[in-house]
Amino acid sequence: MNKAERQIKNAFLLFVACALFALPVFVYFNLVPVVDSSLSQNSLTNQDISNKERNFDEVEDKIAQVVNTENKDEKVLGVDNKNLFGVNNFFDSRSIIKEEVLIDEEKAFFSVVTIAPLVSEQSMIFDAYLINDNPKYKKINIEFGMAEDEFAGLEIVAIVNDNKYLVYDGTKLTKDSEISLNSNEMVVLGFEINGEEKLPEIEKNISIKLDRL
Amino acid sequence: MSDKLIKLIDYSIFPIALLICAKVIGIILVNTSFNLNWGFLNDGDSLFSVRIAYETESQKIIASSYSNLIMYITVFLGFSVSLFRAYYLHESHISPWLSAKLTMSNLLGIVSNSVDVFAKASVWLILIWMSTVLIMFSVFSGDTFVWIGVATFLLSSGLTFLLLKDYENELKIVNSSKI
Repeated sequence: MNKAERQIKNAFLLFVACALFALPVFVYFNLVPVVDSSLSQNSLTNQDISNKERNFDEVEDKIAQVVNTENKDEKVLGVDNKNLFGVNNFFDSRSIIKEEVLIDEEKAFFSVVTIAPLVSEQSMIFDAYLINDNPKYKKINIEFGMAEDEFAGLEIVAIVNDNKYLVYDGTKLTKDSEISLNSNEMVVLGFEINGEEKLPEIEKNISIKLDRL
Repeated sequence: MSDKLIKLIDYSIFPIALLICAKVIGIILVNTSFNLNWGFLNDGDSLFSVRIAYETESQKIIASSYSNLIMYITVFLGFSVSLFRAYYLHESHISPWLSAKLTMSNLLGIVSNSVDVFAKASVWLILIWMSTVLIMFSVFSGDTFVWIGVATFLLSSGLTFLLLKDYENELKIVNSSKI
């Protein structure tokens, strides 16, 4: 190897060594965090609710505030034992229902939900933001229950994080009527109810049951 | 020169990979442990197009501080192991008792010569001061707790002092053997 070749080799090795030591600096600066306040819009009251030291009284107070709101168009979701997400009321308002805190009968499970139903002549879509933020539960199971007769001929599709699940195929509930969600995961839960028939009165006909797994 | 550079590159790959992994794992651990609300932010105009974003300033400081601390502890441990080898498993001044023990256990291979010891220690030395400078930079930017900056600076200085002391001993041994 002559002198020029040796110099080229040395220069190349020096470059590799410098690049190698520069790599962690580059990665470090890439991982320097920033503040993005728009995250709070997605998280609803995630920060409040996921606080492990939250106390139950605060949650109860919050529900009481929603229930006692003067605006009767805003209804609280059903909190009757395990039918946590009874959808009984929210089609009364046709408006966004604010954040709710839902609790199971053991007062152990907390979730936040915001629902914005959209209704057209032949389909109905509503969205719920659901957070399973209780580290105690690795998974929760969502089970859709409905008065099947009312939906005969209609197709009901549940949309969970952009994945579509055919919950009711027009004749019966399908296996997709039970969906598992991982803990600490916010999901966007939506429904499409499609059909040419007149849409049924939705209240009392669909309930969403949450089970801890 | 090329042999030395190859050796330097060879010895530095693992510590650098460890440093990067420690920072990434640190962020994941802090996000999980503190239940932080985070997400990715796309910033096409910046050199670093995808950033980790937090909802509030305090969450950002917590994530940055503790992930820096985890990164530093990893490098600190790596350097400490290297120093341990320099002090106790160094060919030039290993104690006869330990040498005999290692020979009996067929572990004499873990004893290193001066070139290896100081080459590896130099890599860790560079990385620990690189981490310290990055953490100090973060402290001055207001992203990391001051106590972490002070602690890392003191610990890095301490370890550097210990390495220099071993190097000094080594020079004495080399000089005395020449006489």
